[in-house]
Amino acid sequence: MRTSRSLLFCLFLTAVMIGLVKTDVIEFQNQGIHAQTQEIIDLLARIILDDESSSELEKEQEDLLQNSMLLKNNIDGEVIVVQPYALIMIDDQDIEFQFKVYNPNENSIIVTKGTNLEMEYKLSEINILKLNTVSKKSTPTTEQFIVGGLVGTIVGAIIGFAAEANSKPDTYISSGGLVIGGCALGMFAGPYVLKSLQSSEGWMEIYLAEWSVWSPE
Amino acid sequence: MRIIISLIVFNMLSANTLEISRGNNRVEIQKGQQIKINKDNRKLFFQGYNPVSNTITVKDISYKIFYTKREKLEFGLSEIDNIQLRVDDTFKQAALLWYPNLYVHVVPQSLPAGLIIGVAAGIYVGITGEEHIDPTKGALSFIFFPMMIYIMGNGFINSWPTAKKYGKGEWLSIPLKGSNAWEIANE
Repeated sequence: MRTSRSLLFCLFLTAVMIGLVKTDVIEFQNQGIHAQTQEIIDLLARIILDDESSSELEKEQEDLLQNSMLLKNNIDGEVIVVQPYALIMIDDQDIEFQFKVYNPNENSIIVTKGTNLEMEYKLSEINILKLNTVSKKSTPTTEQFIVGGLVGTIVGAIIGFAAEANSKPDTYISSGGLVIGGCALGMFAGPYVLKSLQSSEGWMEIYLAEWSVWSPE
Repeated sequence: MRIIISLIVFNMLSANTLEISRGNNRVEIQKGQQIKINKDNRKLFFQGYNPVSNTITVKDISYKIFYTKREKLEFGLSEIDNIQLRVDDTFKQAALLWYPNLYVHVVPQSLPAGLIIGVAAGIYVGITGEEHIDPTKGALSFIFFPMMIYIMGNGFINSWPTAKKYGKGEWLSIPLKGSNAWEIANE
């Protein structure tokens, strides 16, 4: 009986965790993962397969650079690299697009929003490009998200329990409804509260008239 | 038989999506997606496009505290200058908010319902002289349960779409008239 209860609890916990990951409440930091993988590959490359892996690494970096857009300031020569997956906004639209690739043939950029929407904008038709700048330290980690969820769950459960107990103090028999409701709400609210407390993002405005697409070659 | 055939023909002609294109860009507005029409700030749910009459059908689902308004509207594309399409992820938002939103729908409606039950219970006590009454049993249950089912049903039906409407949203402007106009691309 106890085993089946534990099993059910574990199944529930797994379902909740999958739900949190699938709904992006818990977001894996792809850039971080990529960076870690890159570091490991780099290290292995240096230790074991020196020359071949180095060339593969260079090829990877070249690919990344090929899909990126390099903008050079016409006045002070400053260069900005817009990499794939960077968040950008175009003109006065309030849509946060993900940069996909720069198309040199059309002098246009291809951006995406979610999984369904892909748009191509000619740079000549864009006045202002806003680039998202978010400091890495301010982004909560997965562990912090989980802790936020757990704290939210506990706080929600306590509030739910208190509300239930106070609604019928003399003959209190818990039906558990409010406790479970509080748990569910706290579980979702916790990570969001944490995210809103920690995230500090800004937008850098680029007036394209002052910039031109630059190629290092 | 004629009615069935005309219904089938109507269904074949009307589409659940509206495809609009301009240059290399192509946008598909699907059933259930939120749109705004012209300068109207109402968030409407797209239902379908009829190429024969060149009209689109939308649903206006608005929360009004004690009830939820549901209205089906039809717009001729010739009278639309601009469509704004909501492109942020409202599914995640609805998944997170439908449960608390259920209370937002149910609680205000349960107040007048409670009042009605109270009055009915008073009359019931006056007639029968019973001291301990249970609205889930006896004659009062004929008022209590239908009201309960209506309120909960209304909450469950409307909580999801109204949760999707929360927030400012991110809107892609699609002009249908003027020099930057997009074109209908439904085949």
